[in-house]
Amino acid sequence: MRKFFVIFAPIVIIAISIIVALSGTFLKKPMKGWDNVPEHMEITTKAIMADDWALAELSESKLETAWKTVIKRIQFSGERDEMHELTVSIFRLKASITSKDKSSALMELSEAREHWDGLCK
Amino acid sequence: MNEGLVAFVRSIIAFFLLLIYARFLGKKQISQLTLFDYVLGITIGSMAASLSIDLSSRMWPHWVALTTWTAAGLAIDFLTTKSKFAAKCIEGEPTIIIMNGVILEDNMRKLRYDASNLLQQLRSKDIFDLSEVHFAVLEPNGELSVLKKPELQPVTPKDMNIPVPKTGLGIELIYDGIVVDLNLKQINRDHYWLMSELKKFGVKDPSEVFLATYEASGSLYVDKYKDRIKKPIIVGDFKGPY
Repeated sequence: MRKFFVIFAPIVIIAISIIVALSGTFLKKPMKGWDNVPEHMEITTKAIMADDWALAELSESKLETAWKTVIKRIQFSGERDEMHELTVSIFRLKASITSKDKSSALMELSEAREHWDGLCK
Repeated sequence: MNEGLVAFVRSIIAFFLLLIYARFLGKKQISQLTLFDYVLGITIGSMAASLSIDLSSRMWPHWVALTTWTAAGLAIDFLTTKSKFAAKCIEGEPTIIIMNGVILEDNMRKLRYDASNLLQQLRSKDIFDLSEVHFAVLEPNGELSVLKKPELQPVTPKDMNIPVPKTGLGIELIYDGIVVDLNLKQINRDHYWLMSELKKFGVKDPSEVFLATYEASGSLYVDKYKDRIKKPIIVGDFKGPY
């Protein structure tokens, strides 16, 4: 029994460390439906292209909420700088939507998309 | 992102990984490590620290690097065990520095080992007179092994034809108040025997004993928690704040 534990415990610890290290890729995916970050980015982009600022503001707000949820899940395996950059992009996007600056908003969305794709890769 | 929490979780993982990998790498003493083993240890430690605190990068590359270095270290150990040639190339071999009392300067030159290093290491072995040395060998880990001339070696009971009692390893029977049943069985004794022996020392219960060992001579060494020594000698020479 002791021998089993002595062999089993290190294997379990190593397995847990691998799972935590690679968990980001899996935990990025939406789990609750409303935490789908790429989908909210897509909706926001379409709203801005169509000059529907009310929808853009609403979907940006949902994007923010979704991101705050996802970041808590992926923080153990992801890069801090990448997460921070994405957070900053989302806040800049918020300001761009408020000021109805289409080009700036689209640039921020593009940047945010890039940060999202690079996260936990 | 809660950086404190992330650092905590990564530190726990790094700590246990390092514990497991250090166990895999074996139990050589610090004095037996070659320069490469020492550098390997430092590098692996540094990687574990990065895994712990470098939040600017993902945990996975650090994990891979740590595991790769450990695996490589294990592979080298295995290779040097199986192949004498590999052991000679990777770890080096012992080199004679002094032979029959004569210093071999060519060997010293090849190792970039000078006379001051030699004298320093001899002094650390309490040898202040070079004429006492018969052989001196510089080991791969940098230690100097010295064989003194026969007439200068300490006398042993065998030289004097003095019979010596049988010796062996002491076996722990009680450790921190708890009886070690496995060891008791090993010496073919039971709890009744142990209690009868402990009574001779004024002990009523094993929980009163800090350490009890069964020596090769058949005697029992017992150290109780309640020592007769009330006030130990203070070794320090400065009063200090306490």
